[in-house]
Amino acid sequence: MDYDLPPEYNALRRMIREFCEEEIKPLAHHIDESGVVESDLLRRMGALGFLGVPFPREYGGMGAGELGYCIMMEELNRASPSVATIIGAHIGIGVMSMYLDGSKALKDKYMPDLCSGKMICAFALTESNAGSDAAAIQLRATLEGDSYFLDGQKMWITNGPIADVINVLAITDPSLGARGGATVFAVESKWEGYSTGKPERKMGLHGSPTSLLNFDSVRVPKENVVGQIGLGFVTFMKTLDIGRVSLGAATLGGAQAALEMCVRWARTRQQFGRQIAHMQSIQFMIADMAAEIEALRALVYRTAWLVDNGRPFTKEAGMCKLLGSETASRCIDRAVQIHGALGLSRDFPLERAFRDARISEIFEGTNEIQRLVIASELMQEVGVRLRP
Amino acid sequence: MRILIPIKQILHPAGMTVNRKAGKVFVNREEYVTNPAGKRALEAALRIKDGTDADVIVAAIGPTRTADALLEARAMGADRAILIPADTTDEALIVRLLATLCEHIGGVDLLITGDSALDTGISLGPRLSEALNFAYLGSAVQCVVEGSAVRIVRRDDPAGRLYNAYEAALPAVVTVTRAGSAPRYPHGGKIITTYRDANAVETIPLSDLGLSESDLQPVAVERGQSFPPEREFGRQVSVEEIASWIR
Repeated sequence: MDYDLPPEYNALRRMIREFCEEEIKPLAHHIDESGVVESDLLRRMGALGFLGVPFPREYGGMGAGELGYCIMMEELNRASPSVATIIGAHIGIGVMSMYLDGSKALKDKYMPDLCSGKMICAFALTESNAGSDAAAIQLRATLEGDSYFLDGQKMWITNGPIADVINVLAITDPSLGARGGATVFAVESKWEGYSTGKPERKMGLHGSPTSLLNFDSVRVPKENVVGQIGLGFVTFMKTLDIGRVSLGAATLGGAQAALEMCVRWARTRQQFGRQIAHMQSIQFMIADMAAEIEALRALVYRTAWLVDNGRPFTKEAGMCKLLGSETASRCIDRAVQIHGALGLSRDFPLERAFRDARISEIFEGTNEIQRLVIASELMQEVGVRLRP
Repeated sequence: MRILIPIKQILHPAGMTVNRKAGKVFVNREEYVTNPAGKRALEAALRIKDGTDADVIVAAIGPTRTADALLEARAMGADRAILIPADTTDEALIVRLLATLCEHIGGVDLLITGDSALDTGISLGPRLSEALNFAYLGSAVQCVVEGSAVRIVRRDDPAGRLYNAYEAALPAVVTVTRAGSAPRYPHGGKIITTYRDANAVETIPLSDLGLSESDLQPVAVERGQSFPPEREFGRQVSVEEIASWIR
């Protein structure tokens, strides 16, 4: 058993950390306040390969696999969860759904531009009446001649306002419903009939734009069907499966940042005539955080290893997302406690971290859905099939 | 044109604590990074390469872990990386090894190096120019090659208002300060392929340079560490007090 990362991954982490520390962290507060991540930052990240980490080089990716992708998400979220979420939605679910099941022609058409950051991708599943119950989607695609026409609405779409290509799940055969009658389409934002709503005002992740998408008879040529007609639901569920691993990695970065702040603060802050590091109450909180973070780190990187080695990973991926989001929320909550009033100040990064972390327990499948996924995998091992 | 960039690895400064009472430096985390000024020297060379067909060669002297700094330099865009496996920190020896290396690889036109190492504060520049009989231009913030001359810009006023340009005919040695252009980030894909390439770093053993271990007797001998006395706290002065001095 070898727990050392290969040297190329250590070097990759060093480069990414340097970039995050120098180029992203100083902007994190401004990004939160202004609600905007400058497209120039995304362009520069694209030029370094950040926007296509897990994908093979033949499609313009970095060729660093799920392991490299998890490393990047951990580092990005340590610096700015808003930036991490834009990239995570772009790579982890947006481009990933095209990469997993798209035709070679479709991948050749879009992936080089997506991986280099010339185009930003989004993944559109959620609707007003379809969230955890993803199969309840209603956005309709009807075939007329050589093209499909999309009609309907998607909601809460991360990257919605900035995406150039959107992978949309639509019903192609209402008689079969989502399972068997849904198909994924790659839609370009410049096509007629497509429009986005105003950016949502959220509790956290202010720099990561979210909006609803309107489809008013958007004509999509047949060659922009991602995967097979009728199997779109499978593509999307597979995508979400793998996306949970890197989401776990992102939460790991958030928790780690909170721990680092606490260790620094425990050394600096003096109360009762000495550094608060000498108080057991502080030591216990820091120790608990460190232990939970270490367990999460082991789980995330082992799961990345499962993905890269072609092993089944659905159960572990659910665990990454579940354990990760709850660990991060817990750690950041403790960090606020350790910092006292400073933890609540809007001029200090913890208040932002607290708001930014909450969404991780909700998006890309709520934690309740993750528990269903884990339980259903467990029960399947003993021959019981659970239906949602 | 051939440019040689000597680089060195140093312990990450954040991983150390200085204990004056014990008279010791404690290494809490053994993490090595490339000397920052050396990285800026490499950036200066890569900028020259961007505009011409210069061949940028990085070289380092040190134990096998030093290969990491060389691989990083290759990922940033250096054409060739050479490791001389010798565990010495003696600058006189390092300069001798580098001068021998220059000859071994068929001569170089320009040597660019960091103007000071973050750990020792020492620059190899003047010694290298002496050993090779090259012109020397120190403490550059910018460095360009025009024809057969190298031109640098140096900040000659500590307050940073006065910049002068200096020129020397090649071959020359240039040192770059930490105020030089920020080093570029290597492309992630380039890191992956470089580190996976077993031939990315060439190792030139001492014997190939016509030297042996016995030639590595240090010129300077380290007898121990001492620390300057701790500085006394100053006095806080008010604006009014300063105003009274001016009057």
